Amino acid sequence: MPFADINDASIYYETHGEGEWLLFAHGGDGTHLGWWRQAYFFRNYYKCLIYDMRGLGQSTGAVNYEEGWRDLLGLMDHLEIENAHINGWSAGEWTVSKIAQDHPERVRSLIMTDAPFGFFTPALSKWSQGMIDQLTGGSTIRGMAGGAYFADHYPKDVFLSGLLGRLNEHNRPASSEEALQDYGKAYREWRDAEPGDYSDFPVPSLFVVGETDGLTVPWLMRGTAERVRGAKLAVIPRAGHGTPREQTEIYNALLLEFLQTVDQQRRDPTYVPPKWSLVEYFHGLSGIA
Amino acid sequence: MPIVKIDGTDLYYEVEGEGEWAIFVHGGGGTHLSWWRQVYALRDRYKCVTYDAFGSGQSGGTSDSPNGERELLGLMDHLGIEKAFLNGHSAGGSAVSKVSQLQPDRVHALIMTCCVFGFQTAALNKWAAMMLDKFSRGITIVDRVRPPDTEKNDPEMHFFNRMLGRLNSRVRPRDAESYTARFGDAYRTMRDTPPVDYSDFKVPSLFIVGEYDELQVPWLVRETADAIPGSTIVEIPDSGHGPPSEKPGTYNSVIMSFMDHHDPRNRT
Repeated sequence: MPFADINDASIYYETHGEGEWLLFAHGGDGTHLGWWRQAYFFRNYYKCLIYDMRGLGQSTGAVNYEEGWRDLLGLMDHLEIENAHINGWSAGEWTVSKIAQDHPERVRSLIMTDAPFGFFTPALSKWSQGMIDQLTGGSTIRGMAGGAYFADHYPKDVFLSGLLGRLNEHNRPASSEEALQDYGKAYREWRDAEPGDYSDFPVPSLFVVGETDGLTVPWLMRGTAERVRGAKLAVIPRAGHGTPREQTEIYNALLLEFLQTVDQQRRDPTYVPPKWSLVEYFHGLSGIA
Repeated sequence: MPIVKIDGTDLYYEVEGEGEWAIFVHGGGGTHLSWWRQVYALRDRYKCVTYDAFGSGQSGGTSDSPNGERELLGLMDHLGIEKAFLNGHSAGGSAVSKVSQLQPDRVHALIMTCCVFGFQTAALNKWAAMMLDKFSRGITIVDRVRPPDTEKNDPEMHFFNRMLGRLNSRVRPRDAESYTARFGDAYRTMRDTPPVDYSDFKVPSLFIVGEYDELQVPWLVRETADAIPGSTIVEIPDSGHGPPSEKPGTYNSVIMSFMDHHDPRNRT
């Protein structure tokens, strides 16, 4: 039975494949199914862990993204995962970036998909104020996600993704008022937070953002990645706030290359990835190289 | 009817989308349809032109003595295109690289997809000699350009790509002997022509190579890119000689990033 008792909640999880661990934390109001295309692809290379964050999908407890790191760390202990590549999508990044900052020895690499949450920067302060203004003005989070290209070109996938997205419909903030209730406190804290110093950040990291993401916009990701030591940034064309599902093929190829480079560098610290790698190519075009 | 006479020969072309002009030139054995996934993806921001090269698809003529740059320039003039993005795949690279050298002011940026043709370097000398040696030993090239497991991984796409590949069945060389007979002179010229100095080449260029390409092999593309100042190179993982059809999601993201980066509309 793929349930684990973690911190007074019952957490649903699945593992796929064999190899080094690769852990996926889904985004706001998502479930483990949000990663199905990645689990399908990466199980050929890594031992993948996908799970439902507390209060979502089949996991019990009350939703709490801010404290999500406790559950993932608990799952790592439960499954005796010494260290892993960890990938967070949007709200799931609170979870993974916190673990990478506080327990870097447990993290082989950090992937920040479609948001920079957990890294405090002037860009995040500015963005947080902007979110408060937009939500106050009546914008909805879904309306800002900016996946027009996906919607126009992949109707079948949009349909499926709509079905999966409604697995937590009881919990999803539909209106701007509800979103302010759910996230307003975090936005105010982030707006007022002192910027962190990430010039010694010890974990190899990859930041990925969709070019047309109107929510966690490219300038926010750029303003974060450029302050994190050694971070790579990829801005993916024709993707909104859902790169893993909207541009699956390039997302998977880019991520695989990044992970394999990190693994190679653990074996041989002198290894330098070739300039023709996808990671170096997109990083070169990102404007922070 | 999208047919125009260039130098007295019919050329079939199509135009899709709105934005800056982007012209796609297919490779040997291809047609304008070889680019359908790119046109579908890029027509939201680019005015995409595809055409059947002489001797292919619905165009007239033969491809025995390729002067691809004349077809391309003729079509650009016909459509009143002052400046465009140019993308050539495989043998189509010759047309786009030559136009970029002859009339650089008419090119926003150049994309060489799995090819270096038209850039005469020491690497090309070495590669052409190697290919001639392969032909002399009876090794055909046309069936050795796909990555492992293509068919297994995506049988439907593989099936359809093969169908498109048979659109020129009448003229396509089937074995090493007929291939050598038709292109031997071109390979000998590539082998024997001294390298050209490209230090003055100004067009932003992107070289794309498939990880498993056994035709325009990675070392050839890398060494050519090294000889072209300011060029960028990227390797498409798990792809052979046809990333536009084998890995369209990855390939499209790569070229869209590059084109958007060099799009005059994005310069502020």
